Amino acid sequence: MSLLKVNNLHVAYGKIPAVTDLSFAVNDGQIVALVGANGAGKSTVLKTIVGVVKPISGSIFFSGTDITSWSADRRVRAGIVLVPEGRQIFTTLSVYENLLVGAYHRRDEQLRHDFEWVYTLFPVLKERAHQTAGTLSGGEQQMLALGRALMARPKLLLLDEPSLGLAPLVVREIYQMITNICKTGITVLLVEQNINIIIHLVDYVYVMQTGELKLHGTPQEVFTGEDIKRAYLGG
Amino acid sequence: MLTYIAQQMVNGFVLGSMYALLALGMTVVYGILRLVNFAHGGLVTIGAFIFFYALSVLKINFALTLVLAVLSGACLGFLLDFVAYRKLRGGPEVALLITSLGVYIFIENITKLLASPQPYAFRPPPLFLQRFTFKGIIFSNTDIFIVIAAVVIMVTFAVFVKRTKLGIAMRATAERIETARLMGINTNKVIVTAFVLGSAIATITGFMWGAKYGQISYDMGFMAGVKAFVATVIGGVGSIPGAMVGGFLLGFAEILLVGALPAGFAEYRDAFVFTILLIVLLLRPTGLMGRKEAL
Repeated sequence: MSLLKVNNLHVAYGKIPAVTDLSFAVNDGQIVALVGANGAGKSTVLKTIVGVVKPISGSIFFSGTDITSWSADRRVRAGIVLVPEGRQIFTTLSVYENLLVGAYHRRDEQLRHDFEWVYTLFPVLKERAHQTAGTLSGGEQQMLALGRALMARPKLLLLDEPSLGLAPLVVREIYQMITNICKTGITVLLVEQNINIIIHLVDYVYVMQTGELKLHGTPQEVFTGEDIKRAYLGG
Repeated sequence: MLTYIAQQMVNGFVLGSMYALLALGMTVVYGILRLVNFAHGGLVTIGAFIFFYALSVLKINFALTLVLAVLSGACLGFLLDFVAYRKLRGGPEVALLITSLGVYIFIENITKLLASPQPYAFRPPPLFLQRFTFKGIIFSNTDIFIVIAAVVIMVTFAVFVKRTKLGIAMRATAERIETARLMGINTNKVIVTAFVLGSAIATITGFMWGAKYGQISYDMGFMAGVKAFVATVIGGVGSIPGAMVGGFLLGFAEILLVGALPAGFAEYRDAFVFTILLIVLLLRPTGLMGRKEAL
């Protein structure tokens, strides 16, 4: 069953089209990747799904409900959470406060339990709980961004280039964590430029070029032809 | 001589408390919207007139007046955001700045129309006028009230911002409004809270200003707004501790300069204030406690 379904999505910034007639689906429990060269519109798709960018036309269904007209904070409450490009943690807040902000909309009793859960996933965050987030290293900041998103108890986790600006070893570590997160039942939709990292991790791939969907399939189907790599992924 | 210096220190501390409070009210809004809210001065004027009418015309007791004034300040803050600023969210920052100037001019003129172009004598309750002498240093209950109220408000505010959930959301919104929205924070609510708190603080400073100088007028808010702005720039625009430090420094500097210079210079005190502003801007443009804006 598909957790997320996007139908005939059109998005533009002013008069410049960013996404044209895009339709795709993300199945429950899977890791799905959205790949493509710079400017293909991948980030725009994620921003439209979380509701910070409004589409011109098209619809977005989440768990079978039409959420196209929902505000961003309502979508967060429904379980759609984005880890934005470049992490965007709150550098002036402490690590603990960042996590608390991630759980901002929640009123339930599970909060303490979830802090422990995130601290188990990322022990370094527990060590640095009362440190200002700006003092963390790049990899730690990415972990904080992930932890902050998990504090919202997402059903669908959207990741915008989690590898950006990180050392290869750290990237591998981060992706290991993302696979672990997915195993706990959280569906993941991620945007990535570096296909070599994700080829063995993801269940399904959508390839975008200049705002349009060009190809889709399992990573094996999509990433085999050299010409495809050259044409759509910039080498 | 020692008494004279001590007296100046006390005066500086009182004036500094008032400026710190003014700057705090202005910086709360700036931190979130990057808006230098000149309307803040207008709210100081309105606050002073609310106290004037309630105390001198309607003869309401002080405690009730205080509550009424703070509540109406809070309502005005809400209204100000709703009527003037809300539609401009996401627009260029300069549009907000010009709007805030417009709001100030509107408030100044409506006050002139409803009250009068003449200044009014502002009489706080008799208790406030009582004077004390301690080892030759003279101060009144007004001074004590200003210092205590300012400290209480600043400490409460600091605790609110540091410890409460809404306070943390406020700091998060101040840093990255877009990301805060992504976290499910209702940023409109945070912005309204900033205006409500800032404006409530402004009305109280209106009373302090009136009680300290003994008169209020429709245009008093202009200088109040400018002093608040100068104090925030000295401390570091957008920094809450900076606003408080800036306020106290400005108060001390103003008093000490006037006290140290020959008698004829006293009327140029505001010129000194702007000189200090220029020096700070030249030597340390981010202010004493300000950070560089993150890109």
